[in-house]
Amino acid sequence: MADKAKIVIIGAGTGGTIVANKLNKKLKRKAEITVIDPEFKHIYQPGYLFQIVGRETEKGLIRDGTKLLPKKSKKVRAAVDRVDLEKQVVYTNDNQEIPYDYLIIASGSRLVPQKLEWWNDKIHQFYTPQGAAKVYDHLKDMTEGTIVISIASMPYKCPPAPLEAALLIDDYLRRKKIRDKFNIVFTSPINRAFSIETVNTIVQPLMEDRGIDVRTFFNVDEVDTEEKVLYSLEGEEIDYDMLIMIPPHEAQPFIEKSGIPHEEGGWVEVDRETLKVKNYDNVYAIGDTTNLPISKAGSTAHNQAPIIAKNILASIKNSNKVYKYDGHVQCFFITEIGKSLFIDFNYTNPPYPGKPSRRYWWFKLAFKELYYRFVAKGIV
Amino acid sequence: MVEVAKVVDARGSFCPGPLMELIRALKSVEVGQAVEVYSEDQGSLKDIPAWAEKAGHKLIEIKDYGDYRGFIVEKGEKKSRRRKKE
Ligand SMILES: Cc1cc2nc3c(=O)[nH]c(=O)nc-3n(C[C@H](O)[C@H](O)[C@H](O)COP(=O)(O)OP(=O)(O)OC[C@H]3O[C@@H](n4cnc5c(N)ncnc54)[C@H](O)[C@@H]3O)c2cc1C
Repeated sequence: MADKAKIVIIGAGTGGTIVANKLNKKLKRKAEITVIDPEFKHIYQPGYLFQIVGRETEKGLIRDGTKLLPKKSKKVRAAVDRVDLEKQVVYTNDNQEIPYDYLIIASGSRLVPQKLEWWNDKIHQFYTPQGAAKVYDHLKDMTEGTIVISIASMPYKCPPAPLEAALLIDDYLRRKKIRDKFNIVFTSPINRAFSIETVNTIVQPLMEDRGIDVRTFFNVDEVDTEEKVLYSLEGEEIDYDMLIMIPPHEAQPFIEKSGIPHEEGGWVEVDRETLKVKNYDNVYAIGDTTNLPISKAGSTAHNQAPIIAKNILASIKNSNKVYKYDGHVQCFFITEIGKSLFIDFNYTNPPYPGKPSRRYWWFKLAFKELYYRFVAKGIV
Repeated sequence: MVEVAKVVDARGSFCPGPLMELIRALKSVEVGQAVEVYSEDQGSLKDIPAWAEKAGHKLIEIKDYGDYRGFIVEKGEKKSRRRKKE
């Protein structure tokens, strides 16, 4: 290897930015870090939930991604078209060839509603800033009706988000004193509202207490946006006035195109502890793009970043030390304006979240600034 | 005996993984054909039979392979809809 190791990171979202900063601190002059992203538009995605009830704006969530990255890192503004894992070269869509010694895939997930032939823009979604703004625009003028919050397919990022959306919309309508004019229906593909049982025992009764109609084993088959009916594979149908659906997710197309080991949907096959891509000692994946059976969440990427940084450092120093990710994820779960749960778990220990509390709400509220100042920059 | 048209190995994946794999696999076979899904998740014992019943499919057999199970599910007719678009 040349005197400076070449580390290339694909994607400057949550995972890519944190790992770049962690590496920069550990490696100082030992490596040259290149980050590739088509836009370097960093979005604080948890804020979409505040947007749907009119408490946040698109502008408030977005920062210039280049400013969050190490000053000395190279920033390549392009999309990756493919990777040659044998030659160790990344090719961009504007024909740049970028060689690497270590590669980190941090390209997140993408929304693929176009894969459902019946999807059109009459179906609301809040997984983009524009979509979230449209939800609020529509919601604020509604005076009555049935609002359905539904999940097109699994996996999707931030598993609590659709449940939080249902609870926040309930809270919003209560504050406007028009909740009694609405039905809120929440559909879940599995036999409970939330996949993690220990969290569900708190959350599902809470939703039901608030009058949210929870329909389980509801796997979306089709939506008729003219008649405004949602059909399930299990033979149920729900009439709605407003439908908010989590669109299907996949990993980025360059993964399949490059033959990077992956599962259906393009999710990169990684070792659950070392985070190395299957069969490759110098290629890692972080965040939403992996096939790990844990939440696709920013906090997952945050906990994975130091593991990858330490493993790369060990490899550069020719040390045999191996650092292992234990599956740690923490997140807030908003139950109403002013209250939140805190969920903390890993591969072996399920979460026991306790009761919704004000303390976690304030923490959640402050987290955007903490994220941009400390988390993204790799300081904590 | 129904034909097992597709076998899906969902070992190593936990709730709701095996059920989601089964749902996906059933979409790709014909009515009357069966799918076998391997699962080592205890939750599947409850989930898969309950879902199959609700969705109108038939749970043919739960095979015990020692440290995992094979759930054989036969695809049923699609449930008819209240309204059909003209
Ligand atoms: C409504 C909502 C609420 C959420 N709430 C929470 C929460 O409370 N807590 C939490 O921890 N997480 C939350 N999340 C999830 C969190 O935002 C994501 O899991 C996190 O951003 C994943 O980080 P990532 O780096 O894997 O992907 P991203 O942050 O999405 O970044 C991926 C990057 O890759 C780039 N990219 C894509 N394709 C290419 C290509 N071909 N070449 C180069 N670059 C490419 C993109 O431009 C992007 O910058 C929430 C998400 C949503 C939608």
